[in-house]
Amino acid sequence: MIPGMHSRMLLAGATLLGGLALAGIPAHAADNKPGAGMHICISLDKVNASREGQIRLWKQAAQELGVPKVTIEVADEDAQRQSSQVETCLAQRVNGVIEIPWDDQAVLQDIRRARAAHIPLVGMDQAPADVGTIDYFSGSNPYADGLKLGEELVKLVGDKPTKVADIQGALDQYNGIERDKGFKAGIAGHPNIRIVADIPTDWHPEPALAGMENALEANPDLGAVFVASDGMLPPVWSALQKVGRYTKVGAPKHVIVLSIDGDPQGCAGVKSDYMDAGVAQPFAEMTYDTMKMVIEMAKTGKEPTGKDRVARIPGLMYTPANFSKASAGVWGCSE
Amino acid sequence: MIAARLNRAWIASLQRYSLIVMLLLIIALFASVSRPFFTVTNLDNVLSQAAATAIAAVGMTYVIIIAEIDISIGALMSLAMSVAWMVAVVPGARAGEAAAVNAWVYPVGLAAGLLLGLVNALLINSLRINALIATLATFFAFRGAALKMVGADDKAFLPSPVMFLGRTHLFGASLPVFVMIAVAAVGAVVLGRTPVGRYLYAIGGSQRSAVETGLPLGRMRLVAYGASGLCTAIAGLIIVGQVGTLQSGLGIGFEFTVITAVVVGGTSLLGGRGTIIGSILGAILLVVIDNGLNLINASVYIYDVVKGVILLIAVVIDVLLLRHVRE
Amino acid sequence: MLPVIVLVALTFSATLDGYTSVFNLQNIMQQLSVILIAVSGETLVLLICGIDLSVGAVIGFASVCGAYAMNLTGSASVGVLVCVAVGVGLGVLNGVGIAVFRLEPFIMTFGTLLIARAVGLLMTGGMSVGGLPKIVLDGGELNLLGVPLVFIIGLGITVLVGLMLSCTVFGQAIYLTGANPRAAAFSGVDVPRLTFRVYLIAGTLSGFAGFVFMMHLGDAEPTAGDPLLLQIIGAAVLGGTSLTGGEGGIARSASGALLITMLTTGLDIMGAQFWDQMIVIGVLIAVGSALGIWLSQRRMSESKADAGAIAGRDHEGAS
Repeated sequence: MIPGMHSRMLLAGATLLGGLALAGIPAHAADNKPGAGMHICISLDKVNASREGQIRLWKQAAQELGVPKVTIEVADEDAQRQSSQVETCLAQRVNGVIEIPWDDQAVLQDIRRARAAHIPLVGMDQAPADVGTIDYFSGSNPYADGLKLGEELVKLVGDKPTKVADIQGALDQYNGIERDKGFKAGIAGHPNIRIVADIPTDWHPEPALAGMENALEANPDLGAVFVASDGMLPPVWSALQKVGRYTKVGAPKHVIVLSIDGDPQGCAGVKSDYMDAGVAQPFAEMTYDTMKMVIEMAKTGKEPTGKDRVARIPGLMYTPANFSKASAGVWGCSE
Repeated sequence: MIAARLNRAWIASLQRYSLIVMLLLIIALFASVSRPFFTVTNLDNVLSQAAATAIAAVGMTYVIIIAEIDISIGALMSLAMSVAWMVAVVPGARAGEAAAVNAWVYPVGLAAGLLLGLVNALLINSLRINALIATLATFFAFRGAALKMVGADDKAFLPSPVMFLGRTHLFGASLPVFVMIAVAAVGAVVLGRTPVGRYLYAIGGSQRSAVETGLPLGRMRLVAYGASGLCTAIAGLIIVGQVGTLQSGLGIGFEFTVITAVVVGGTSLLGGRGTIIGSILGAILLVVIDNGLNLINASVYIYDVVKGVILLIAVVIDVLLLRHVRE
Repeated sequence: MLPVIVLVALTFSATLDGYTSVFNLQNIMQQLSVILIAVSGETLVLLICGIDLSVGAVIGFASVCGAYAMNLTGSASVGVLVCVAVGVGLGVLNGVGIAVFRLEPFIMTFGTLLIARAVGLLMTGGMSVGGLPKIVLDGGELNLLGVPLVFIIGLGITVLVGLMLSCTVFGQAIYLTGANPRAAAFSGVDVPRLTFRVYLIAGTLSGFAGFVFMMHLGDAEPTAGDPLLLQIIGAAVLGGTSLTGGEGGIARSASGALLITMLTTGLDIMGAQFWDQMIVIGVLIAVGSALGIWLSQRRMSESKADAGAIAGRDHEGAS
């Protein structure tokens, strides 16, 4: 049903194999689960809506896998703090660490320290600068997500000349940069589609509002807007309302809205027909995979090899047309 | 002799109006490179984008005039809005889902802002600590409390009264612009035409001698920080109404924008000198820079360089001209 | 401050598993290294009734410049030189603005903050800079007799600055100027020159702290200073260095830094949410500095009372 269900089932199979070793011992039901008795530490760069969603999903995964203790540390956008928190986890001899790094270079030091302490460390969502150095990483595929929406825009407008506003994320982060690159690659080769405003926002709604207002001011005939994160949808609605163009898909003055994340705002936007297409991030798979993998590495002492080291899970496209089927895979619809 | 005096008078007026001159220069510069810059709707855009900063700058001006500072306002805004959201949100939505927020958000938000501002003043008065330290302490504590209370999920709004302040238009202009004018007018009248204003300036001139001559420093502190908290709450209500969502990052770095606006507006951090109109113009100047750079599609990292340089130029000019006038 | 630190240390080591483990102690020391260097410079500035808001931005900008220089030349010593040079340059900028043009320190250093941070972002496109020479990374991991090298460096510099402050004429002049600039000028202190030198030293220390930051984290970050600024000022103030000049010292500021680091590590081990930690730190800053002021006032009134008593005795003796 969910696209990630497939990988989940594979992993469930692997769990079963691992569980067989324990099968002979009659024990409390929870003890049969792979994560029994483990303490997993999760180190986050910051808290926001996406992280809250991920935390909920991690807790679910921990419960399914029988992990009794999960500690969550938040670095609040401070690289030194995060390094200290990871060390604190290592000092407590936790069984494994899952990290969303704030600084894609400083995490390399954390990886080295974890290895020296013989504690598995896996990464999620934001990749280290050199992804080859981490034993396991699970993230979305921001380039592919942007590309999908770019191609969708091409399908939606055909040959019609269209001006586009590009509401970018933070341009110092891989996800922000790659979503933007992917989108631009998706519309490349279609000279009728032209980006008239690049608006960097650092993922904050206030610059998104100001930028969208200014873009509509400079281009009253704006035809579409690409939004790098659902967190910036409310200000986009606000700016569209101001010029009387907040309309349902297909209405004459409608501005095509495309957005990435699949949070509750994106879900509601597509559900109510105000948004033309969204790409949902595979948070359920990412959180489950990382939790699963860190447990396995702690148990076996072996890390995955070759292609299995990095999972780049493409997001799920959802539109008003496929919403009833697709919504089950959108984390913001189902939590 | 007469020539020298005329010259001095000319410099004095230049000093007084240096900010307006600078604002006009920058507007002329942007207008010459960007066609949509100089339109009525863009004027409304600029003013409505400046409204929140300008309104908070009114309160901050009071604090800075008494030679103190309030760096807690970003966190204060976040906490006041969180409290208001908790009280006024219509229950039923799941975490992260958009919800309606009723009109209670306004009185509760304003009351929370005022109260938290008074907390700052009371801390300084009762613990006898420096203003920077007191508001540094609340900077941490307010944001921590806001996150603890409502978590970091986005709180998007369904169409409901909470968006009234941010999204209403009157006579072709945004409501926040009128609110900005009203707050500025009240702020300027209190500062310029009442005993409270005279006390504030006198205290800023010299806190020690003000206390010795019997000026009510403690009470005036309540006025200044209360005003700062209240104005910040108004700014917060405008921002959440405009963007249509309350996010955990609300207000981060807001204190620096507002202090910059006040200082660019000619209010001295040493206290005793400054005007409301200057602070409003300072806030508008900052937004004009953003708006202009935005319209010409400039590189994002240039923004802070431009702002830093303008801040220093404004202050250097101000100091040099002032020195010239005094000599 | 010392009794509070001992109390916190005892409480945490008695109640928290692994608080006194070698690993955790090394972690605390590593966390302290950058802050110790920066807070030493900031303390000098606070003592003359100034403030340096650019301290964090200088650390970030110096680290970026140093990282580029090292990646270009492959030499760690060039990196140190560039970091220090950047610190000196920005220190001179602050010093000239404040001592010569008599701008308010708050504004001048805020301008420097904005510009240094923005130029760093422009240079790197906002990304952090890695790929540093191996010797820098290894140096950051090196322990001598169990003590991290970065901490030895940080502590060494702090001690040096502390000695300079308490044992030299220059140090006395700093205290004198902070307590009463007019009296200092009257007794022969060249106040503008002293001011210039203090900002120069503060800038230099921040620049060098940028290099230690790279050793500790293994990369350079243009925004490294964003969280550091408030930590540094908080540490100085919590330790009892006053913002109104003349009162405080290196040892006090350093103990403030130690207390904050011990607390955050302890709260992390406890698994306290970071918002709870923020509330605790906020309360601590307010209460801690109030306590400091109260103690120093009591000391002053006691010494006044003592002086009065002595005068009284002398009077009796005379009669």
